[in-house]
Amino acid sequence: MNRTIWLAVAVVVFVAGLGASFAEWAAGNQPWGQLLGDNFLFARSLPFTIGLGIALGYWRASGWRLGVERRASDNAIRRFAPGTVTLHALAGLALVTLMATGGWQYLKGLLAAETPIDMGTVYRIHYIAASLLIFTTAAFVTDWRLRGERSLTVPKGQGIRTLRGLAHELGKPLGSTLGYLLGLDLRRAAPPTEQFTYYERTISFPIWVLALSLIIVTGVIKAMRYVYPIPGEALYWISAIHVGSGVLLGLKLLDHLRYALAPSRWPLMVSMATGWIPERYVQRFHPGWYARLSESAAAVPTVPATPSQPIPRASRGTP
Amino acid sequence: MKYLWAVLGLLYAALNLYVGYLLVMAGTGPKLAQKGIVLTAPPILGGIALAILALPLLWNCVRLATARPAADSV
Repeated sequence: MNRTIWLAVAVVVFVAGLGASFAEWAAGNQPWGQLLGDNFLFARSLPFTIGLGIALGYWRASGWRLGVERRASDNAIRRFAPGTVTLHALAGLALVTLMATGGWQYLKGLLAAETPIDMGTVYRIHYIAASLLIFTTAAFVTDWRLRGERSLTVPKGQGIRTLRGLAHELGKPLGSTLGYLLGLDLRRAAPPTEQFTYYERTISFPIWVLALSLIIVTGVIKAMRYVYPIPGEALYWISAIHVGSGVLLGLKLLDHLRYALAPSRWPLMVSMATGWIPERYVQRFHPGWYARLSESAAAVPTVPATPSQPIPRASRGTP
Repeated sequence: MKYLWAVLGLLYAALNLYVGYLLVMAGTGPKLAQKGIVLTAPPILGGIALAILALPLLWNCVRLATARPAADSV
């Protein structure tokens, strides 16, 4: 109950903060044009947006049910919670919008081209999408930190084992080159894949974290430049890093889609939309995770099937 | 849904190929050519990287659209 009250308070504070900013913007007390007005509105809404994200993350984490759900109809296993699916979709939408509007701004300047679209509108959409991305990031980070969720990271003390798993996943010639360079013993069998593949844990997720951190931090500093004066030299480099991390995000999205749209990994793609993954797929391609699920399932008595049956286990639940 | 994602992936890959081309053209064009390697190199390198990473996505989208589900597929 407390968690819902906190979330409701955060929603009220967010609406009040945004409302106050809008009221001042609409009053016309400042001689700002659309661009500057939108920039101020975005900059002043940031603390409330981040606060709402933190409150949502707290709400998710504190109401988390430990255990794994199985769908009664086909015994599919839940890989992602419904909230994770929704937040991932929102973050994806925000990211695509940000890259489209940010890329538009960058290319317009680089090519010195005229644009048929009003740039004020492009910036406005950019700020709205940035707010959405910051909100979802704050919610995810808070939720994962509070729950100690680490299934997408390399476990402590298992760096070599994880790299060996990655080398096996990459196959020849990339994997064998990696194994040779790092001195990995690839004659040993590949360690069983857990809930996420070794590629997702060692390459994909760290690059997402790096690129998103860079773009959010530099974007927030750029947005604050009219509220707090920032030296021109510093702003130049911050803008350069912002554009560079935007290109990095574009590259990462290409790689992410390449990975997710491979025919053999289509069930993983479906699981990101529905939350469910077929049991046979987990058994075949994620044996480490399947073994943990089976152990915990064997430890509890069988219960009558219901549309969505939680099976308690000691380890963590779905991300 | 599989075909929709294959088409979306193809469109995104094609768009990135085009943006990569624009970036390389801008980097090698007369406007940036006089501004030194610090300003010229990023669009050229970024454009090449976008084009290179778009190719595997194109390939996987074609495979996704044309792959038949195997008998033992899960």
